Amino acid sequence: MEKWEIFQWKKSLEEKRIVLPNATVGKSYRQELDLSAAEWNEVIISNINGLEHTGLAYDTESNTLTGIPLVSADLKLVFNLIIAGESMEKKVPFAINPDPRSLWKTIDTDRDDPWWKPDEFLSQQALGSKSLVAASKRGRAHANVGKFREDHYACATAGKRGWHTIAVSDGAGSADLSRLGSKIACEAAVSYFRQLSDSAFDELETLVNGTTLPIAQPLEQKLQELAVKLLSPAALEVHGELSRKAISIDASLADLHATLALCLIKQFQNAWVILTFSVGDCPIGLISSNEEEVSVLNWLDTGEYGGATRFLTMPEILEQPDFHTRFSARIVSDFSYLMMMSDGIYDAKFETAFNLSQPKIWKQLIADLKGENPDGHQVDLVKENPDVATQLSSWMDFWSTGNHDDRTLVIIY
Amino acid sequence: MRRLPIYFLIDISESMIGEPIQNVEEGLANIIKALKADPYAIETVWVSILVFAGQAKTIVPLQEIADFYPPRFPIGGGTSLSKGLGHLMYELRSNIIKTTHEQKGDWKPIIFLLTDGVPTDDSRTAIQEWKQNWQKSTNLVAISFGQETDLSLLTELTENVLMFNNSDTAQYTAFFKWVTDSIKTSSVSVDNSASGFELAKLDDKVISKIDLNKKTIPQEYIDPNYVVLAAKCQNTKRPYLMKYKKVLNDSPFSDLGLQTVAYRLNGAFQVDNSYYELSDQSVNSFKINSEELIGAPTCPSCGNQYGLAICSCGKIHCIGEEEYSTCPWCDTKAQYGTGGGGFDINRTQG
Repeated sequence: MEKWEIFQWKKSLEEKRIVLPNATVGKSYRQELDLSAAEWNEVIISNINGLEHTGLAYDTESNTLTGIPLVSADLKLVFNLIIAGESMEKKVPFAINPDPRSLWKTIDTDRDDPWWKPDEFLSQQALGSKSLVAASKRGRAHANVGKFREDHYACATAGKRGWHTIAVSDGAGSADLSRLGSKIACEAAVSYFRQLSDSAFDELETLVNGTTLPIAQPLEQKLQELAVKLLSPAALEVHGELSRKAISIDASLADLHATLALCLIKQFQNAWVILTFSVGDCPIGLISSNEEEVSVLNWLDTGEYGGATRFLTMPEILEQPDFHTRFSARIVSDFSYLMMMSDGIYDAKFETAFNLSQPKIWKQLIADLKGENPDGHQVDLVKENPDVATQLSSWMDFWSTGNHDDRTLVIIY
Repeated sequence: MRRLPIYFLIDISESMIGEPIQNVEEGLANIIKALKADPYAIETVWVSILVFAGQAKTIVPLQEIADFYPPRFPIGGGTSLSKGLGHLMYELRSNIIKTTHEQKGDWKPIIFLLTDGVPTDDSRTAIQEWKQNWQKSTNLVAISFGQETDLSLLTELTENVLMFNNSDTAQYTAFFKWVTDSIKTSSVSVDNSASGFELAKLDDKVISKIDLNKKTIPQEYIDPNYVVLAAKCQNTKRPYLMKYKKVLNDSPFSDLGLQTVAYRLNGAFQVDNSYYELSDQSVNSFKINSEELIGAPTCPSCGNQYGLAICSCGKIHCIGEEEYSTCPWCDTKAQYGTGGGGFDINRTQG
């Protein structure tokens, strides 16, 4: 063989590509090298350097790289080759990717912070003939940098006549004190109705008691007006409370930016009455008793890009001409589920506002809650399940690529 | 989940051969390595690498970072910015997911355009199309690698025009770190529902922002910093490139402060046939006199002693100790001697 031929042979081996697809830590790997090209004839691979401590090994008989990678690494493997009696080295890039889940850190929040709040909150209670379960959890994005949970929820009985208030709020990621904003929003809403005199509900209750289902069109109109009448002072009160708090702690109102989804619910003899109000992007979904139909009770303040969310802390919200459309009122004989959630759940499970109107997506979510998920987490949504809240909390740890916001979910079932 | 698509549109004209392209190759590998360790980026960022010289090509189709495998960068002749832009727009049209009822579309794509020379073609039409269809729906950062890039063209494409001082490997490392930081910040800010595009802080020693009001440089069609000669190996018939870098020498009349321009050998590099695929096919007739060239390489393909022999057909090939050489371009057999005096050699455009 001419000298230049060996020179060229080595050169082309140097250039020949060996592609080793990326491995992932903990995932079994097996790749056979393609050495079928003519250049590889009579070439001996004497050794491969760089695989030490990776958990992978190369078998020269079968030309296969196998094993379960132990650590993430970006390697340049060095293949020692023998060609016509001469030795040469060939470098082959090989990457072992980390398990994406291992990259998220959990950093504790600052206990001494004046507005500290727990990373997780859960509760369960009876609600008429049904039950309520709720959980709110700090998302990975916040845990990764030691930030607080910005979501919040609160629920309580209002007065003695069996009305219940449920509030869900999501603090703005860009606002410094949004964890406080969402807390005040929920607590102020609940406390407003707790202090409201029972007689405030008289007009509504008379209307409901004189109604046979399904309700007639003009009555629906009347009901909607009553919802505005009952809930708008609450919205104003929450806004006022946030403003007062901002002044008292010498912060700007924008520092407390938070959304609010509010629901007032009562079981009557033959019907359930559900009134809602919302600003922001926390959907309230009502699923019919046969689970075939879904009504989203509020519209969401979402834009093309997420930044368009609106907050109850924005004074202009209260003056806009569409303010009354933020309220809804329903009378139904029964339902299977009523759910309120923050965008940490909604983004991961629905992705778009359009999908919220699709019963099949809600069905998937219900099946998911009942255990159809990769982790096998199961929430037994049956009456008198003492562990339902902890089950919901475990379920809420689901993995969803790219969705690591705080998660809050309230279910009446 | 919404993807954050990152496109690299990289000039691979002949002047990039050797160290610059190696630095780019390593730089990109380091970007990916760093992004893989970032929990936001690894889940959000998708990467694609497009190259252009006389022609353009996709060498890494848009893919998740976890699947990324370092590509080999080809080299081509010419710097056709219009072909590069055209190909970028084609890729964007084919790959970007738009928002629909059922699905949230991609975040605004971020494009890093890296070029080191003056476009060797007229790119006005492509720039017009870019402005009309893509300028608003993408974030383009144009980075000039060479001192004599036509910046006026780049400033038409985007307000983010940066000058990178690509003097050594350390600068490249710092530059690619800056790109990585910019991508990381952007991937976190999309997660926080913010604008999704933030360039990292600039280190003026490495990369500086171009003042858009500055006077522009007149258009030229040949890259004056380098002379690149295309040749073919007599033994293997494979193409190779010889790169000469501009040096200024004091002329014999140095008392007058005069300098002469010469080009010193920078290296010889074997290229594969994709070189022709990526080159501008229009014939070029730029000449350089052999007296301006300092040094001659051995053949990078077969190891022949002399890599710069000129056949009577005007093309360059290598010669060894053989008595009669055969030109791999035109098959003429001839005996070679050392030529006296200077002679003109065809050079490439890039």
